[in-house]
Amino acid sequence: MFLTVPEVLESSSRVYNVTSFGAGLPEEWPSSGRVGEVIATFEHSCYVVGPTARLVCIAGDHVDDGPAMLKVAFGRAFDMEALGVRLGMPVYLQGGDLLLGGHIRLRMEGAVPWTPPPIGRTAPRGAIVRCLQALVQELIPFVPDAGLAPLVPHSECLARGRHLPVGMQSEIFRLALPGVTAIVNGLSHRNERGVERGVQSLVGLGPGLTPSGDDFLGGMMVALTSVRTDACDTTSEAGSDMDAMRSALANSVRGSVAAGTTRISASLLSYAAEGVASAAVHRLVRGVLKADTRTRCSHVALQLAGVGHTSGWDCLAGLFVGMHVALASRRPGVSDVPRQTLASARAEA
Amino acid sequence: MTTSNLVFKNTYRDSIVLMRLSRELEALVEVERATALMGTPNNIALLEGSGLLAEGAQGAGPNDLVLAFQVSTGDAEESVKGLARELLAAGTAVGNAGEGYRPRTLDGALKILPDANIAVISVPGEYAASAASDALERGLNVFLFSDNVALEAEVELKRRALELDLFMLGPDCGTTIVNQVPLGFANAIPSGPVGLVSASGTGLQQITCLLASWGSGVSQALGVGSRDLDDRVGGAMTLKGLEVLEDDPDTDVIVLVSKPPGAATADRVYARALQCSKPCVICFLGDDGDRTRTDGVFVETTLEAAASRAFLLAMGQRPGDLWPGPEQPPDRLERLNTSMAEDSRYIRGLYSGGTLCYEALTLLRPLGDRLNSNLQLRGVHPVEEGQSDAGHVLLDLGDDQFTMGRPHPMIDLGPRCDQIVRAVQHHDVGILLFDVVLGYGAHSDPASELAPAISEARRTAAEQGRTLACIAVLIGTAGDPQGFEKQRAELSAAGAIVVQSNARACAIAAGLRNGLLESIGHGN
Repeated sequence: MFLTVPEVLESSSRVYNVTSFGAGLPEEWPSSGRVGEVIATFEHSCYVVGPTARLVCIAGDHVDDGPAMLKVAFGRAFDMEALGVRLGMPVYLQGGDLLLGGHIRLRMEGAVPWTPPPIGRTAPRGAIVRCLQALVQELIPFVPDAGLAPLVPHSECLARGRHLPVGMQSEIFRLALPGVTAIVNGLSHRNERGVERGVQSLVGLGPGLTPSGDDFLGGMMVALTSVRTDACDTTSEAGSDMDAMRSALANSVRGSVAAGTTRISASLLSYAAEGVASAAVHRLVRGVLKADTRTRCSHVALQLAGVGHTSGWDCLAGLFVGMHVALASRRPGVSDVPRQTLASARAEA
Repeated sequence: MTTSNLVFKNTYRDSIVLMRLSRELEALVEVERATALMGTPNNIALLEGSGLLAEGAQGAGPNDLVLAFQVSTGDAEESVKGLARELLAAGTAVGNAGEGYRPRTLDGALKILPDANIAVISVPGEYAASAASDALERGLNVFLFSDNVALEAEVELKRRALELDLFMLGPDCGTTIVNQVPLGFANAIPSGPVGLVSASGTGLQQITCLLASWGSGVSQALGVGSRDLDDRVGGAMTLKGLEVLEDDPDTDVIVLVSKPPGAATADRVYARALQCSKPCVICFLGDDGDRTRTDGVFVETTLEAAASRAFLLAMGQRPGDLWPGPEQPPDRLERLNTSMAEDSRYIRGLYSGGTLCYEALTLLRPLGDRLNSNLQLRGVHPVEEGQSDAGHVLLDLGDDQFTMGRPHPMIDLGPRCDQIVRAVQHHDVGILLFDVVLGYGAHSDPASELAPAISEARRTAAEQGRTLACIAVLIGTAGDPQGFEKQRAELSAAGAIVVQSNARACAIAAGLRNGLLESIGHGN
């Protein structure tokens, strides 16, 4: 049941144009009436919770596209508070437009739906690996000692199951490393139980509105999905095994986020479980899979790294580890390890 | 030690705010440790493992913000809680976010300096356009020191800057003085009534230093990037600078400076200057356009002449003569002239910037000798690496071929010292011409490196029975950090003839080349 739109909203005083939005967002909304309410406000954005667990992020049109983004031409120096957006403010859908409270209309006409562009033909596996290795080398001087960023230089070693020495890294890093290792080993050895253990230890771990562990998992899931669509060097058996493990990871994440992390992070992870993240993530993945020139990849990677305090770096760590795991799995002959599912593990226990 | 937790239900703050909140609290004397995390199960376990979990966080949920801290005494607990509530209510932490915090993004920097109105950008050229674009889109004027930026990118950046009514100073902008604040390489220049717009860094420095030495100063000195007057850029920022200075109440006279401009752009700028309500002095080095003085617009062919004209227009009197001065006593020049062999009078110019090199080439062209350079100018031959170049050789050591991967020659004097010592190996070279630029950003004591090189070169020449004349163009002011007089004295002691104007230096070089000291005039 939805409330009817009060007549006072018929004459909203300020109208702004939506420039683009995550293509799946309208599916989360009713055809008209109350969409939800504002649950978080920041300087240049706000989050709206609707009837499903997924949130909408309403932001200025200078931000990057993403599955949860609704970008609005608010103007250069806008501020959510100055616009009058408040916690708990109701959001309605009327005549195809979104109404925030009684005084802000977001006009959807002409807005462009966004989905990640298809990658198409990719470079050969060897070229992709070299591109990834070169990219990591470019980024090393910039890697901060915060969150899970220190994983970036060691992403390939981790993906190959090699032991990482735990030195002077932060406490978050030391706590997260066993979980990361468990996931990598679980994916590589088709051990769903190991994957689930790793996910449970990472979800909601670390500082930030989107905790470091979540950002890492998000990057990893996007990487596994993207390399899954890679058209090169495939063997059907290796491919289907990795699809199954990717699904196991995604299902573990979905099962853990409800009680394990913030609503905002859970919403973003739900998209990542489908292989969808911000436009910058997809630009980087595309660049790597096409073995783009080193300069462009590192430029996009550094843009991504600048997101939040450590969120960008945490995501990069997940992307790189995930890509190395997926690329390693696509070599012929890798899939000869019998897969242990959760069901078989429970049966043994 | 007391551990305490504060829980803020259903409270979201972005990551940088949380990090700064932690650091603000940790900066307090009473606080041993502090952290701000969302109350997820794993984070609660993290706090417990770190010894930061207290009763206050019991029952915290994943959407709750948990602030955990330890204070040295229980008395401080409530005051720290109060401060934390205030900081959180303020939305963003105030102050410098604690010692050692350095933002890694433009947005992070703007949170600390929300009133910033200019971004100074110096990154490798392949990233520079993007960084500049980001800054413009955030409403910031841009000073772009980086070079190796594609021309197409420069055109687009300046187009966008004009749309946004912002300044896009650069790329390859080495010098600017805005509201008396020096950016890049710049000198300590007093405020005064002359405004400059310059597509030349050392050109700007030459003129501003001369104005200062004569007792005047500048209102604004805007560097616009070395290619601004290329026809493809169209003088975008030069024209904008002219417009802004015309409206500036502190500017009485406007000086426009460039290395050789594009012909169409030079015409456009000249036409705009004719409409200006304030007198304009134009110095387009190497410009072949037929432009003559008209009411309000003065066309000068050297930087010194432009500075002199601007001083006259602004101050109503002629500047003090730079000639003669203690730095070039006539008898010293006479001794040099008589001791130099006729077949050993070619000039080797070693400049740290292109403008002074261009100026030297234009001033030495009337000698009629073969001129070689890595700069392109009508009648000048390209220098071939390793080949013996008959004639005069004038090099811009700030050109990309010399600076790729190396610091600017105003900072790194090593290559120039090497060139000075090597020049004397050419037996036909008898005259060394080079600039020494002081000011902020430049080498802290250039004479300490150049003087030994000069001494060694002169000694080598003497051992070969030759005389080497070393002419140093010292560009700086008494207020510069290197100490103008100290630099002058040390260079002179090494045997250099030290002058303040490149035009004067070229006149001396030309006079020695011809053996006609009478040709070294007094002023222009």
